[in-house]
Amino acid sequence: MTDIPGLDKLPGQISALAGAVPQAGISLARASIDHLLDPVRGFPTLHFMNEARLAWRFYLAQKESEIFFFFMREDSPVNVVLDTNISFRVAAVSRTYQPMPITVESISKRIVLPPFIKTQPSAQELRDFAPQGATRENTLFLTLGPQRQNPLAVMNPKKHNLVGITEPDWWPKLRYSPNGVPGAIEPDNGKYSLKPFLDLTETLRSWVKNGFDVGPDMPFDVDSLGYQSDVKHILKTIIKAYSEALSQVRMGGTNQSKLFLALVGEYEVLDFQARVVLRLRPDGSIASDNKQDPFQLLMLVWMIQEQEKMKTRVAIGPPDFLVSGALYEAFVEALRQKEALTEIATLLNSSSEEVNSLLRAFAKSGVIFRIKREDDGDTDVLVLPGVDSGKNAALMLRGKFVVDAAKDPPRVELKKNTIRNLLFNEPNRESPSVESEAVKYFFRLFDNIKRWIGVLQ
Amino acid sequence: MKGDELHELGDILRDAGRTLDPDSTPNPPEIPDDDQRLTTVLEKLTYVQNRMKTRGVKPPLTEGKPVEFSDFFSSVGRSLVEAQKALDGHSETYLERIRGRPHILPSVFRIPKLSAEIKFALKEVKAEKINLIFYSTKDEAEKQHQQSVQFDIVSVPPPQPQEMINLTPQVTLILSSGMRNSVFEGINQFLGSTGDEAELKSVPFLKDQDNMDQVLIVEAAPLKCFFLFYAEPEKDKDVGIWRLTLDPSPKLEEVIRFTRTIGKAGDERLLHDAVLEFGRLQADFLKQLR
Repeated sequence: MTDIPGLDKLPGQISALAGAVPQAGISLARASIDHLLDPVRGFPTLHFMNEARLAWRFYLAQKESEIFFFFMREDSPVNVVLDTNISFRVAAVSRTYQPMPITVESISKRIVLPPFIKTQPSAQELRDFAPQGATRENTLFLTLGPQRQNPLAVMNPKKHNLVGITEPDWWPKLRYSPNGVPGAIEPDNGKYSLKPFLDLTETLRSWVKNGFDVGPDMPFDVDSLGYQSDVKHILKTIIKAYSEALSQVRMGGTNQSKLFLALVGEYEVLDFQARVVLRLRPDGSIASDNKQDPFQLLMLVWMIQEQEKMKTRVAIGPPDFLVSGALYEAFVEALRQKEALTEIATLLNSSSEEVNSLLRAFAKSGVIFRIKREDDGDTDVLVLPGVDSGKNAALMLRGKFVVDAAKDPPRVELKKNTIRNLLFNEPNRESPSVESEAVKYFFRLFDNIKRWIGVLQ
Repeated sequence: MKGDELHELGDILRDAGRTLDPDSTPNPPEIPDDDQRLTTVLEKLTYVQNRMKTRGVKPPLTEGKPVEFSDFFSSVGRSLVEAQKALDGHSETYLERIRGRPHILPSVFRIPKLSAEIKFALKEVKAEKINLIFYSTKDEAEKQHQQSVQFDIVSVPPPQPQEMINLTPQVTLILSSGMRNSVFEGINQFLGSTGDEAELKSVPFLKDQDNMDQVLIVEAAPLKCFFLFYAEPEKDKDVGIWRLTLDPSPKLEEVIRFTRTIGKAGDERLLHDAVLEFGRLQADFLKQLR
């Protein structure tokens, strides 16, 4: 487990922050009391802290060889290994039950996994739909499509770096079986077909667009994540922060006089949620440098209160993954600038007008994912599928962008001469295939999805 | 809080002051005198707003002076209460000035709600205390203000749960004829139970209804008893205070009674005259109720 100085103080900080709200309510009541007891001057009025909404952000960032805890933004956030936003409300409530302090142990833990991932495929499913030699350990088993009707088994996705470099025998293998009809094993003659990747893109897109936190949850034993797991450490810290904040808000005012309690009423911590982006090693520990083959994980953690029963719901999602919204639009707009259009048109042997029209049409159902962060910009891959001349087509571009997501609206600028065409399949080809460079990014994505599941199992 | 955003909190309070309760917003006809009056009120409102800007909510803007989170909330709250008190004063003035002019709707000025958003950085965090820092320059504020809190303070009528009523010490002048009759019945019951003629005579206000109407009966709810004040109209030195408890059974006790001048200062006469005057006002009032 990584030593993260400062993280252990988080529960105390959050509970102090939450506890300040009822204290403020008491202060307001104290200030109002003269006014209240003087009905001659105006209406007797109580000034009342109705609600406070708090947002708390902290980072873990690597500086030289150590990891530091920050509340402030550093000038170069390139090596941020953990970025956490915690938000919650402290609101006045009318309670019908006696409030009690809660403990971390008393909170039930649940997890929402992506619905298209089959974490425990049966031996039969592996035999029928996976390449030969596939096991639960080396294979990511997905069920794509709106009805989860298209099994896709990807064996050894971690070998993505070998694609295009070694003989195809060493590359990751996949088997795509639309509508449950077992498909061919790929690569076939050193080529992968486009269809499974487009199906994956659409499935990921729907998943993110419909809310990756939506879906059935299952019991989740945080302790089973193992001693080395920083994910476990961080999750437990967040849960502890919630339980201490709730206890502080519920019980912190009990030393007040009965009069003030009668005036101020009761408060509760509501809508507590944390958004955590982590850079991890495969064993679930924080990756402090790029040599450790890191991957990113996004977790959303909610605390749900049902009467007196508390529940933590953890959902995993794709970090740096856009399917819609203002930032997505800003990326598309950056590509539609005159200079960018000229660059892309040259790559595609087309005209700027045709590229512009293509981008406008294909951007409606695309995905964008970040593959690299550097001091001078981010490298992103854009997969833009669509229909051209009545047939499925796709444009896949890679470029370096300067992104300012904090601006309203967000600003995105394509760096000159950085755009590369990874794929533009000809719509008139019967069996379009994907070139090795584009395939690498998809397999990296498969590898990351497999790791997300791995660190939470 | 971004740069001078906290300064702007004063403006928010000022704007809140401008937000008059829509149900009671005056709509005076355009008569020069009334326009002038309204201008005066608005000038006074501006004065209140300016006062709010310079009191309480002035933010700590230097990095060297962190402010505790709960103190910050408290200072905003105190400023709001001060502002409302000042507005109440001006409402009173306004109502006074429009008295006798029925074409002008009576109005009071209220701050119904204060909403604010603060962005801030942290100086030091201990388990019990959170110290906030507000950077004054825009660049620093954008970089450092990573934490935020939004809050709503609303003005509500005070709650009147039984607990609060019980906790608030109250003395009430009893004017209801039903309650007054209960008190006198209690006294009669007590005197009847003693059977002591001398004691009956020693309670001067039981002679007739006029005398009884002049008895000031004050209920001291927390003590579960009544205090009765009475001054003899004919005898300018005769004044007394009695205590009546009803539970478990009626009991009347003399607290103090002056029947003659003590010393030259005549301080019992001051008490006599005050109780007599107030008693007469009350008697007149009670007669009107019959």
